Amino acid sequence: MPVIETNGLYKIYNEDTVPVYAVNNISIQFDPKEFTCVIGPSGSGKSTLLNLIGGLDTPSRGTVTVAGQRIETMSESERIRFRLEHIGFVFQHYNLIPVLTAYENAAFIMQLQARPEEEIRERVTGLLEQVGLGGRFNSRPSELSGGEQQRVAVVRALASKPDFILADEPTANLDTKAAFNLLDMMKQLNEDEGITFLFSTHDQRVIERAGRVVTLVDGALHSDERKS
Amino acid sequence: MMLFKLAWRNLWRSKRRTWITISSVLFAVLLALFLESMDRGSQEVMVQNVVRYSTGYAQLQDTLYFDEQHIDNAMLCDEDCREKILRDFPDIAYTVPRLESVALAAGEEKTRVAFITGIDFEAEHRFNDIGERLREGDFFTGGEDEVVIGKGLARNLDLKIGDSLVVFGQGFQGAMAAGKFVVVGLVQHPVPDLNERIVFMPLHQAQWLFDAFDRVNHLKLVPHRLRHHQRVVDAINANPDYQALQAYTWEELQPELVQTIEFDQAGTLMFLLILYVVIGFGIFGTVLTMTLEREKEFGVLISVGMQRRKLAQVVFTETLIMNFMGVLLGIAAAIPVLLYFYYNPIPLGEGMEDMMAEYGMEAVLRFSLDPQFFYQQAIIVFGISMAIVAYPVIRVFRLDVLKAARK
Ligand SMILES: Nc1ncnc2c1ncn2[C@@H]1O[C@H](COP(=O)(O)OP(=O)(O)OP(=O)(O)O)[C@@H](O)[C@H]1O
Ligand SMILES: [Mg+2]
Repeated sequence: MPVIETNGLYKIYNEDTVPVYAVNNISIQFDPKEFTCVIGPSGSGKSTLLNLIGGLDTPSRGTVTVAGQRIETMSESERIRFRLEHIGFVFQHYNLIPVLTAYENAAFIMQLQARPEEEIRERVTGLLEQVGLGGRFNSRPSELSGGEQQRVAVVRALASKPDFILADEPTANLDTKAAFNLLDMMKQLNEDEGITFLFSTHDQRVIERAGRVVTLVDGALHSDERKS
Repeated sequence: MMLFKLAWRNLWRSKRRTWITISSVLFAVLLALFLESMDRGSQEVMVQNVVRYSTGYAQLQDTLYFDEQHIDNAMLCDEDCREKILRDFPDIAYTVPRLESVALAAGEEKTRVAFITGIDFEAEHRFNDIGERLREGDFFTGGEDEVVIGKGLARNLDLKIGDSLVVFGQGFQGAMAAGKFVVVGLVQHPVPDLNERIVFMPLHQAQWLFDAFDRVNHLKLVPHRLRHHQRVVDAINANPDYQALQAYTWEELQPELVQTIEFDQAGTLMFLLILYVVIGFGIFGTVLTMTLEREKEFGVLISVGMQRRKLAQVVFTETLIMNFMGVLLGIAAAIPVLLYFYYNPIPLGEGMEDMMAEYGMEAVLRFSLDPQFFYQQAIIVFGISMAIVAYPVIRVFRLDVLKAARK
């Protein structure tokens, strides 16, 4: 069973006047453990597609099924709850809560889920150490580099073991080296934890690390390549 | 717990701004308490002075007396009757009788209109410390035909201790009232007008002078606790045994005083309202920037799965803590200040003394420590901040996550 499945998905802006097909009839599936990259020119609908899949946005038409549940029909509060339990998010920037430390940020989702403190400590400590942030537990986001911040964000998204992680241009604000490091780390976690990753990017070099590359043009699915 | 931690940390994100807001609440509470304390203090003094030397907190009269305050409408009430009242109404600590009428008072050469007042000195003194106002002589020595008169009257009539005073007037139901008395004491009456007119004599002697045996114009009823005066009045008026009599509170007997106080309070209230508005906008400004600059962060929090309700709790707690600290610190700061002024009232300038004396008041600004207005002010300021917190809470509930993230 796919983790994510969309069927005849549309997002149309200004439908009554001059319609903009931000997402144009996309039907696609993502399987467990896939490490997929969504690419395409600016304005091709990458963010819109990711937002629809993540339940941050509602489609004009079509369905989104995540972990066997239709999310486009859920109420807003149900979707928030669903996101908390099933989806990890990494954004381009401004991911972390500035007043919390790296550790607290990484533990945030699990705390919202009201997981036992012991479990949280074990999991978050282990992951932060694994991504090379062992010594930065008590640093505030402002004291971390962009790459370190994104790594904390990935740990936060991953710690609660969601069904998949959505990352909209997670490397856009990073220099090449940091971008590669983050990607390697994501890839590693994808393999170790078996968690599905779906991310968008502009960066040609980042694309090479993806197991599957989905290309959008003008909101429509242009190509879908799997590497073996 | 995590939510509280988040709120607390957010609050100190900009220490200076938070402290400025807390301080503005602090000073608002402090200033409001200061004004209220001063206002209430002067009112308390006003009520005390006026009420103590005139009507008392509650008064019992013949039913006809209220409309026609004449000795002819004096009520019949002897010692037994006064004791019965105490038995019937246990809220009353004691009663203060007075028989009074206007008459002419003459010295050797001059004559003045005087206010002849028969008193039970012990009760009277217990109620208003009139004995403390004695400047010369005694409040009666136990001899015959003694009077104690106001210093002003003594000056006007050129009288001193031992001189005689002739009183001529009308007694109960047209009886002639005339007598010759010896001045045994001089009082400085705190009410200037009365100081020039008052003639005190023992009650029985006044009853004899006015041919009004066992009668008094009115009885002041002094409750054990002054604020129970309304209860006492209601109890008497509801009791069929006292149908021929009518009890009144000082508010009913002195509507002008009530009006003066209300006017005074309205003035203070206006000032406080302006203060509240100013402070309200101050807090609002902080809350507004605290909210707007974090919309992006709010967007992220909701995106990753934080319910709006929980986020609203965080921003609510932030404002709550800020205002709670302001209110508490304001009260904490006000207590020593008000205590100081309570024990060291502010003296008023020379010019005020005469005016204040008109009302029989000392020329000082007194402060009140009535706990009631402490929590009143605290509740008001708190209420304002609760109204303000509505803004970020609504903002959180209306926030468009996608738009916020794009900013
Ligand atoms: N709120 C909106 N109202 C109208 N049009 C919108 C809105 N949001 C997005 N669009 C349009 O939808 C299309 C897809 O936008 P989207 O942000 O998904 O593209 P993208 O591939 O993520 O671009 P980028 O690489 O620049 O991030 C664009 O043409 C955009 O102008
Ligand atoms: Mg985009």
